[in-house]
Amino acid sequence: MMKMEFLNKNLLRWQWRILRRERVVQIAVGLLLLACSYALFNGFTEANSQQRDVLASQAFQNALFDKTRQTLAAYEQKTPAEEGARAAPNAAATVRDELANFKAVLPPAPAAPLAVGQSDLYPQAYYYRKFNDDSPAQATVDGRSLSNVFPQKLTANPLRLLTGRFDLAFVLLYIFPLLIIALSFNLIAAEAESGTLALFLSQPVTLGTLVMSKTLIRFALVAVTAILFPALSVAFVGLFTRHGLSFWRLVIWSLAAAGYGIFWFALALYINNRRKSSVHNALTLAVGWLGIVIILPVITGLAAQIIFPVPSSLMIADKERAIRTEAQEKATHSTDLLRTNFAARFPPQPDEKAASPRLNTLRNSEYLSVPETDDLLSDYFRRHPEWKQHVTYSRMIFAIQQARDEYIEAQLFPLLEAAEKQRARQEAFVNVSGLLSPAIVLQKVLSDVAGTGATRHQNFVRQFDEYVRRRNQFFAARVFQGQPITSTEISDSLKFVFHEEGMSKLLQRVTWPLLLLLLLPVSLMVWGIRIYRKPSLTETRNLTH
Amino acid sequence: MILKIAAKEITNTVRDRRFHLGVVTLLVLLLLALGVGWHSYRENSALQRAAQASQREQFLNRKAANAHIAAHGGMTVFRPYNNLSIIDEGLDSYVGTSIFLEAHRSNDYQNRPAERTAAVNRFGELTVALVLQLFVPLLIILLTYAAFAGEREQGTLRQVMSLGLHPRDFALGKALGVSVPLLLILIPAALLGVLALALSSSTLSASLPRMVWLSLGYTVYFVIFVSLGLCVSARARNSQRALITLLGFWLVTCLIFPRLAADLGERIYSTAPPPEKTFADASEQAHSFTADYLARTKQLEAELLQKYNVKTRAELPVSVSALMLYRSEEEDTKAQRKKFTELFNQYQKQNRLFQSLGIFAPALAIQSVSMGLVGSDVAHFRHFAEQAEEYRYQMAQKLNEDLINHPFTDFQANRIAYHTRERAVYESIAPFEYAMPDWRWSAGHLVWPCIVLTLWLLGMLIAIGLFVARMRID
Repeated sequence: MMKMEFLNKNLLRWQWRILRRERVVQIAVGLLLLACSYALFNGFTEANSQQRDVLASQAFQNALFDKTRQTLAAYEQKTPAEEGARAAPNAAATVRDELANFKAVLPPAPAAPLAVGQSDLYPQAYYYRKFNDDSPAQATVDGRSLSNVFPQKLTANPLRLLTGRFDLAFVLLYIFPLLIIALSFNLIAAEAESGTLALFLSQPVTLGTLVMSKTLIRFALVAVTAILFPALSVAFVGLFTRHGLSFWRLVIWSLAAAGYGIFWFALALYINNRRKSSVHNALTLAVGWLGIVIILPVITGLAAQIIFPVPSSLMIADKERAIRTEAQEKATHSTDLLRTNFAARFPPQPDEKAASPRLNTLRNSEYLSVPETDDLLSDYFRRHPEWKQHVTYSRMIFAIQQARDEYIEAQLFPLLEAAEKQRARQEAFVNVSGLLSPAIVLQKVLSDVAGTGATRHQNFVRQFDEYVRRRNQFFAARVFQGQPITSTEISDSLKFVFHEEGMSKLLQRVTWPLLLLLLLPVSLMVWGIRIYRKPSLTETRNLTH
Repeated sequence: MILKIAAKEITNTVRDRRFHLGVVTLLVLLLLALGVGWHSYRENSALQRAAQASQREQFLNRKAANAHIAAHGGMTVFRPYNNLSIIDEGLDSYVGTSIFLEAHRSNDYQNRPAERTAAVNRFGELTVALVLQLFVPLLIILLTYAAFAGEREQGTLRQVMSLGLHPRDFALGKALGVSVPLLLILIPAALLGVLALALSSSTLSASLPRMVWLSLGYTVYFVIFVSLGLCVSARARNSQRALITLLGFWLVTCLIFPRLAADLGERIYSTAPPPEKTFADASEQAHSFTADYLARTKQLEAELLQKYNVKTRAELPVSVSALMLYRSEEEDTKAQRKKFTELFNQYQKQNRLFQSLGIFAPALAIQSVSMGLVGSDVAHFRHFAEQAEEYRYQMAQKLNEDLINHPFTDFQANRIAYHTRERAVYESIAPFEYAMPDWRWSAGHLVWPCIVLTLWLLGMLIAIGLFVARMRID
C-alpha cells in the first residue's frame, strides 16, 4: 500500500481554486473585510479624539504650572518690606489651590482600536477642582470617595451603551464564527450529496486528508481576513502615531482570535462527522452559535449577578449622603470648639472685631492644643502625630477640612470597596464559566489586551487616588511645618502621570483565558481530525449515498 | 380548507423534535427572565422607597448654619421603578438610578448599575423583552422556512396546488399553523407575566393600557416575521436557501443594525463634548461667580438702599448677598438647563434616527416601542430629570428666600437663631414625589416607531399576497 501524505500540497492548491471561485465565499469574505474595516475606522477615530484630549489637558496643566512658577519666582525676588501685609503667594495652602484645577486624562489604551470594551461606560478623565467648602456635599460618581475629584461627564447616548459598539471585538465575537460556519457547514455533505466524494476517495487520498486540507484552506482564508488584516492595520497605524505599536499585545490578540476560530472549525468538523445533510449541519451549527455567543453569555452574566450580588447603588447613594452630612456636622462642631477655646485664651478687647489684625496675628502664631472632646481632630492627629506640635488656629482650620475629607473617605471607602470586590468576584466567576463558552473568554481577553477593560480603568483610578493623597500629604506637611513652596519645587514631580501596567501583569491576567482559548479548541481540533483518519468502509459507503 | 392546512401544519410542528427543543429553551428562558425581572423589580422598588424616605428624613433633620448652606447639603432623589420593568429593563442599567440635588448645580444621573457589574453583561441582559425580540423570531424562522420550500422538495407542493387551492387560503392556513404552536408558548407566558405584575403592585389598572399596547406591538412584530418567513419560503429555490436568507435577515436586523444605527446617530448628531481649551470650559461649575459679581452686588445694594430709603446695608430688611445668591441661582439654572436641553435634544434626534432606520430592521422599532411603553427610554429619563431639576430649583430658592428675609451681620449669632426655625423651614418644602406620565404621554413619543411597525405590517401583508400568488412550484 502506498504511503499517503497527511497534507497533500496538490490537494490544498485545488481546494483553494475551488474555494475562491465560490460566490458565497467571495461575498462572505468581502463582507467580513468590510465589517473589519468599519470597526477599525471606528476604533481609530475614538482613540484619536482621546489622544487630543490628553494633549489639551497636558498643555493646560503646563500653562498653569508655568504661571505659578513665574509668580513665585517674582515673589522670591522681592524683599519682605516691598510685599507688605498681603497674603504670601508662596504659602503652601495657596499654591495647592493655585495648582488645583486640572484634569487627569486616561491616555488611549495601548491597542484601543481593537476593542471599545468598557471604555464607553467609565469616565476617561477626572477633574481635580479647587478646594471649596461645598465639595464635601458633592456626590461621588462611579465609586470615587476623594473630595475635589470629579469624573468627567459622560455624554454618550445610553441607547448606544445598551446596543453596544460596532468594534472589532463585535466582529470577532459574533460575525467571525458565522463566516466560519458558512464556509464549513458542508465540508463533505455537499460532496457526498453530489457524488464527487466517492470519486475523491477512489484516489489515494483519505477522508482525513481531504477534510484537513479543506479546513486548513478555510482557516487560512478567515485568519487572513479577520486576524491578520486588522492586526497589520493596527500595527501599521501604530507605527505612525504617538504611542506607537504594542507588538506583544497584537500577538496575544491574534492568538486569542485564532483560538476562537479553531474552536468553531473544530465544532464544524465534529458536526460534519455526524454525516447528516448540509441543511441539518447548518442548522445545528447556527443553534450552537446562538447558544455559545448569545444565550450562554447572557445566562452567565445573570448567574454572576445572582451568586455575587453587588450592593445596591441606591443604598450606597443614600448612605453616602448621610456620611457627608455627618462629616460636615463633625467639622462644624470642631470649628465651634476651636473658636470657643481661642476666645477663652485670647479674649477680644471691647469693641474689637473678630477679624482684627491683632487677633489674626495671634491666629497665625500661637500654638493651640487639640481638645480631648474633639473626636474628628483627635483622630486626625493620631494618624498624623508629626504635625501635632505646631498647630495654630489657622492650621487647625486647615486640619479640620483635611480631617473631614479623610473621614468621608474612610467611611465611604468600605462601601465602594465592597461593591468593587463583588464585581471582581463576578469577573472571577466569569473566568471559570468561560469553560462553557469561549465567547465569554474572548470578550475578556480582547478588552484586556486592547486596554479598554475595567482593569486598566481601575488602575487609572487607583493611581490617580494615590496621587491625590500624596499631593494632599505634601501640601499638608508644608502647611503644618509653616514652610512656603519655592518656585523650583513647581516641577513635573507634582504632576499626575499614568503608568501603563507592565506586560507581565497583563500576561498573568490573560494566561488562563488564553490557555482556555487555545488548549480547548486545539485539542478539540486534534480529536476532530482523528475521527476522520480511519473511516470504515461501511461509513464511506453510507457517505456516498 | 384553511383549517385543514393549519391542522396538518400544527401536527407536523408538534411532532418535530427540533420544535420541542426550541419550545423548551424558549419557555425556560422566558420563565427565568420573568422570575428575575419580578425579583429585581420587587427588590429595587423596596430599596428605592426606603432610600427616598431616608433622604427626606436626613433632609428634615439637617443642622446647618443657614438655609443656603442647607441647600448645599441638598438631597438625593431616586427614580422609581415601573412595574413593567419586569418585562423590559430598557435603559435602566445604563442611566443612573439617582440624582443629587443641590444649590448652584444641576447634576447628572449617578450610579449606573452597569458600572458595577462584570463586563459579560455587555452581551445583554436576560429580560422577557430580549427573549421576545431576539429568540421568538428565531423560532418563527424555524417554523416557517420550510413551509412551502419543504413541501416543494418533498413534491407535495405541486399536488396541493393542483387541488385548485387559492394561494391566499394556503398562506393563511400555513400562517395559522405556525401561529397556534407559537401562541401555545406565548399565551401562558403572557398570563404568567400579568400574574407577576398583579402580585408586584396594586396599580395594575394604571399599567393596563401600556400592557395592551405592548402586546399589540409584539404581536405585530411576530406577524411581520411569520409573513416574512412564508414569503421567503414561497420564493426560495430550496429550504436551505430559505433558512439562510431568514437567518441572515435576523442577524443583520437584530444584531448588526442596532449598532450601526446608534453609530450613525452619534456621527450625525454628535454628543461628544467639543475639545476643551481651558479648565473653565470643562468644569461644570456655576458660571455666575465671575468678576462682575462684586460690582453687581454693589449695584443691587445701591438700588435697595434707595428702595427702602435707608442709609446702610445693616438697616435693610433684606439680605443683599442672599438676593445675589437668588439671582445667580436663576442665571445658573437657566444656563445649565440650556445645556441639559441641548444634550437631550441630541439624544432624541439620535433616537428618532434609530427608530426611522426601523424601516430596514423591525427590531429597532419594536425595541423603541417596548422601552418606551415600560417607561425606560430616553424620553422617560428626561422627564424624571426635568422634574427633579424643577424640584431642585424650587428647593434652593425657597431656602434662599429664608436667607433673604433674615439678613444678618454676625454669622454665629444668626446660626443660633436659625437652629430654632430650621426644621420648620425644611418642612415647608414638600417631599419630592415623581409622577410618572400616563401611557398617552409615552405613546406620544412612540408615534414614529409605531408608524414604522405599521408600514412593515402592511408591506409584509401585501408581499405575502404577491409572493404566495407567484410561488415557485418546482
